[in-house]
Amino acid sequence: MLRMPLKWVGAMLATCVWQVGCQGQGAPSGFAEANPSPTPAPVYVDETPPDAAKPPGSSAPDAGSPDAGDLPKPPVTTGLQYNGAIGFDRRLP
Amino acid sequence: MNRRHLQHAVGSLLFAAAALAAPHAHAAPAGERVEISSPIFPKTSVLYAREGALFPATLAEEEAMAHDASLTFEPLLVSCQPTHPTITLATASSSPTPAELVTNYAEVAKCAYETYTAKPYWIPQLVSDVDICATELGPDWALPSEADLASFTEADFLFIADTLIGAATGTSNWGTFYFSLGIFVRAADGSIQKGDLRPGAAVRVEPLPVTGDDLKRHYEGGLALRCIRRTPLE
Repeated sequence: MLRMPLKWVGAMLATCVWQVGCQGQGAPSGFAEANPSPTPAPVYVDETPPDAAKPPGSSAPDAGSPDAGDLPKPPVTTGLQYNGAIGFDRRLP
Repeated sequence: MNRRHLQHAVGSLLFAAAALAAPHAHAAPAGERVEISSPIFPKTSVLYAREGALFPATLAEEEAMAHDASLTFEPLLVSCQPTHPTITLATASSSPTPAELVTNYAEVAKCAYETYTAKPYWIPQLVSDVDICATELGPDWALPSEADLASFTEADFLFIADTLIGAATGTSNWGTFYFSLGIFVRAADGSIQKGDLRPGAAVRVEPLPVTGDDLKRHYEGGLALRCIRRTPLE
């Protein structure tokens, strides 16, 4: 059985996830899809009774989410506001 | 198109007309502040109970249903903070740093699903009939229109996308819909359609794949209900 360090496997998976989710111009194309993750996306298919609280981390896999330091990140813009909105100024020509 | 939508459309036209007619006048705005809200997501328990044949028969009932179902960002910040202690709340004397705002966004995304089972499953007919943006966020907020999207530059779309990517770090799969660039849009013909905020998108607005009575059932197309506020800059 082929053996390789776990961190190699993790790095390969993370790279795969990033490439699938960021096609073209660095745009987050995957974010607009119904299932942005290559792993099954329970958000769109599960039949969890509505409003049943799930203990954080109890069943929500984090395997598909990028770990800080593993992946290239775009520069953080200053557009995020306290109210959760994205704000920017547009100057008229 | 209800009165609020009409007001928003007229306001946008007047703003554009003023800019074109008097570009050098002192009273003309120098530009505008554009804000795209975080998603308002529905409590699915509320929607599931009143969809299809059980969809409200009156506008008042629809408005009550929409309000009962709406989960907005700032109340979630407060209600999620005890279980998501990395959320930083603003105080009278301090505001979160940009890095803390990113953490806030990601934590609310997780909490919205984990604690409230928020899902991007709005009922299109409800989005069309009720001015949810104005009701939940304030009268100066509106559902984005096709004209709003047409007015954005490629740089604007890139900025919106980069902001969401920057905020996505560390978010579990369950919260990814909070970062969706697919949104509900009021099309030029008055119908509710799906909009695409992705940079480089070939088609910005297109009809939903559902029609007729299916518009009264929750739609699992992954669309976020985001709102827009455009404020003239002096």
